[in-house]
Amino acid sequence: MGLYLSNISHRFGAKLVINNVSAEIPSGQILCLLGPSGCGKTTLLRIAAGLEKLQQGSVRFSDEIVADANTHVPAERRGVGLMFQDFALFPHLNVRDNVAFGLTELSTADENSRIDQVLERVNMHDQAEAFPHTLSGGQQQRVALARALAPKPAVMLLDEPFSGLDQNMRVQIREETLGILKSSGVATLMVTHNPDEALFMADRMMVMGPDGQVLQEGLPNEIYAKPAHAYVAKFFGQANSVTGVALGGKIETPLGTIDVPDCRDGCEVEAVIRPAALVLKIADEEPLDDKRRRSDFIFGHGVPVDVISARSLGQNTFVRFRISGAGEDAPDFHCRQRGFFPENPDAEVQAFIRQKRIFIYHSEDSCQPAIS
Amino acid sequence: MNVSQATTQIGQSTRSGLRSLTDGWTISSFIIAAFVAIPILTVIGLAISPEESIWQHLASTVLPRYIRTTLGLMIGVGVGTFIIGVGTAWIVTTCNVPGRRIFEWALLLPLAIPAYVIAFLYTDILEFAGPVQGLLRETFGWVTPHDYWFPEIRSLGGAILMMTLVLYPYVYMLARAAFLEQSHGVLEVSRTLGRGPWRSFFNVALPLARPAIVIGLSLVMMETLNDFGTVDFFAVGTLTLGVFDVWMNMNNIGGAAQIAVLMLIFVMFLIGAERFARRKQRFHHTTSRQKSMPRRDVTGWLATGAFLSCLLPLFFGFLLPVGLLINGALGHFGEAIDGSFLASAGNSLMLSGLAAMFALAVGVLLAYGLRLRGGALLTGITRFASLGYAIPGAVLAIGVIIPLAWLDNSFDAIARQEFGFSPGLILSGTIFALVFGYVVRFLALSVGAIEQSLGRITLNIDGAARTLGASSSIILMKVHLPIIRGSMITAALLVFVDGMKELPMTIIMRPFNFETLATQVHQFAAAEQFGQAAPPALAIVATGILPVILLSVAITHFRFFSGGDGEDRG
Repeated sequence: MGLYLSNISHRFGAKLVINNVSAEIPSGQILCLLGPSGCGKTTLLRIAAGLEKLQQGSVRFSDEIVADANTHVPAERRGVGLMFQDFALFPHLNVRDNVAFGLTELSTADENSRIDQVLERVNMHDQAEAFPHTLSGGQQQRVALARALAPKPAVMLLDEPFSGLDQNMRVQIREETLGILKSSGVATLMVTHNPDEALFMADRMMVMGPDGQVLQEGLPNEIYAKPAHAYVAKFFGQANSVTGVALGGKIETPLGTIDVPDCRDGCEVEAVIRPAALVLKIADEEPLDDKRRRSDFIFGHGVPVDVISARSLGQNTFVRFRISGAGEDAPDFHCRQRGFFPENPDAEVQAFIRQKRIFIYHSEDSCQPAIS
Repeated sequence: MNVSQATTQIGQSTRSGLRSLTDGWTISSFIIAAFVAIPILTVIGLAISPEESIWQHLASTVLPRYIRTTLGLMIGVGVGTFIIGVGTAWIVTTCNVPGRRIFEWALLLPLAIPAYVIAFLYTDILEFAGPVQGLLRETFGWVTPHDYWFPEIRSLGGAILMMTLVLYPYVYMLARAAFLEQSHGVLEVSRTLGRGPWRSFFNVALPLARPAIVIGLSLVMMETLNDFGTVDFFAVGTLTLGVFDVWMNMNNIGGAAQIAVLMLIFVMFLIGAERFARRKQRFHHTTSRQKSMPRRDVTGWLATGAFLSCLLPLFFGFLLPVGLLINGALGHFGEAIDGSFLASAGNSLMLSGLAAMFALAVGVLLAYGLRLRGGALLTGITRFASLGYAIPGAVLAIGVIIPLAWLDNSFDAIARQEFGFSPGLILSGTIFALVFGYVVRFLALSVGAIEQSLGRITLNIDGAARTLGASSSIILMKVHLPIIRGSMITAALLVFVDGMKELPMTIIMRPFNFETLATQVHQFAAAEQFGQAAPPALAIVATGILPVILLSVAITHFRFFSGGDGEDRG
């Protein structure tokens, strides 16, 4: 059993919200669909569940087509487990009856034992008689998970399952959820806009752009380490972006020269620099020795900068700075500096780039890959 | 009648997905909505179809007076209810006036008393032979009416006063809710920017509450336009009275319809004002963070003034009339229990009960149909079908009677031709017409209440139930109806009570010799048998208090138990 989406496109009025998306999720695997708010990822989930009518493409559960141009199996006959962002627990039913809602085909004894089993699994057995509004967010999430899993669906669909929880609870709950999903062996499609959650939960990951197309698919750390697209690179946290025109395999940027070996002269190139890829150095401290340079992959010479602000994040310091001599209108940059960094340094500050941590993109219109 | 109509917007995108799955519901909602819309369509149809016209005759004789009086009445009642409604709402939300917790809900009580009841009660005590003038004469030694001047209660001014006393709660209720919803922060900002409490009220609080107040006022004026009992009793010639006069006395239904059409212009203006205000209301919401307004302590003459401002409307609008009613009913206890009272009480209960039941069923069907499918056409026709609340009973009666009479006559003709006997008036002459009329007039109450409470249930609940294997009908039965049970009871109760009070439609459409409590009150009052009018009037007021209690609970806890988390519609 598994979930197979092929070439799905969907429009709301004239707006294309899903653009030719395909995904394969075998049993036991979790696919995370990561994308910004409003990019159509929830719609894809609703199409898979049968809550939204398919417009183009097909949805298969294992070998059975549940939706294509001629078929539409309604949601109530698909047997998917769906978990909503707001959990959507039935407010008039207690925990037990919420879980029992989908168990219509079992005998009373089987039904009861199944309810006990899933409530045990999500650790909510003691609150079986409680009503949803008396439960904490985390408990509601567990009930929602139990309710969705109770009828033993072959496919689980999770819509931002952790965003209704507060930060501290989230880490614990998602680990529990991961364990439960893995042990039940269902094929899971989860959508989220939170890259941390996607990285944590995913066996495979898909990143969706704002126009409803899939920008990249692959293993989570592969996507994190090698984002195929400037948009994907920027999606994992606030990144700096500089542009330049390639000349002799290099571009000149306010932050210094950056190697762009694969680009022909004249290419318009965008370099995305994550905050951790910029290192600041106060001039009167000891100079960077070669070893430090190598260990930090630091490239080139430092560029003098003015610190605008430096705010502590505990282990790191978040520093915002501007190239020295650039006007007030010039763009500013930010980085995460290990340890403490003074807001008003006494001496000149220089910025260095860790070359290996930058991502280089060039638009296909402006140039072709260099002919080797 | 009232209860804000839910104009809750549900995301179009999520809704469209359920469309193809629900055609059975859609079709039945469509048919029901169209059926309920017939009377309103009939009246509009009359407006645009040229018929033998007594228009010119009317225009040259009574019409200008009807219009002048109607406008005068509406403006007078509007001003009166605005001052009392907004004033008391502001006092109880912002001042620690003595007895505030009681005033908060008690100020709604006059809503329980129909204007035609309060009208005969005050006439009884204020007319020449009444106790007030009697006391004055005794005190000052006057003998005849020529010895002194006393305002005539049976006048336009009297009608304005009577209606103001029982209708101001509409404005009070909506203004108070608006004041409560205003973030206190906004007022504090105004204070820090140098405006005192009075100027903050006029420059910030009042403009923010304006949409709510406009809604309240338009409801007040719709009720004013609807009133028949008071204006008939006081002989104040409004358009409503005109419809009756031309129809019942001149026996000219065409002429009555033409006056009705004129009234529709007033109604359209009021609906327009109400809708406009409701749209505006969304932008007048300051913040979602509710911080209850800290109340100002008032002392000395300010406290006395505030206290009296709240007490007087309550006293004259409820306490005194109810006291008089109880007194009158006790005096006529024996007659109260006689056959005619019980019969009319039974008729009232049956009519209102049937109307509440049907209005509830139709309301659930339409509101759930809208939730499942939406779409411009169904939304439009449902909104149209629930316009009855704005249309005066006398006008609606015309819209009900004409198509039903046509059906009856056609059926009668066929029966006589084919079977050689006459079945008589099956629909138009029976309580079927009345129940149908009630449902059309009060449908907005039930659709509004149900739609609002369905709107508070997140659509994800439907999605969850569906993926767990439940169909639309099962979801309605097992999920929605249990969740909205409270609102359904409220909706039915509101319709029921309005049915008990209803007078103009009942007088026009009731079967021969069929009395309800309301028609009895009207008849006894018209015959100046105020004592006999008291027991049925008291019965109407007693039932009318029930929804006032519900409303006052709702207004105090304006955040209800709602379906699902995250769904916070404020």
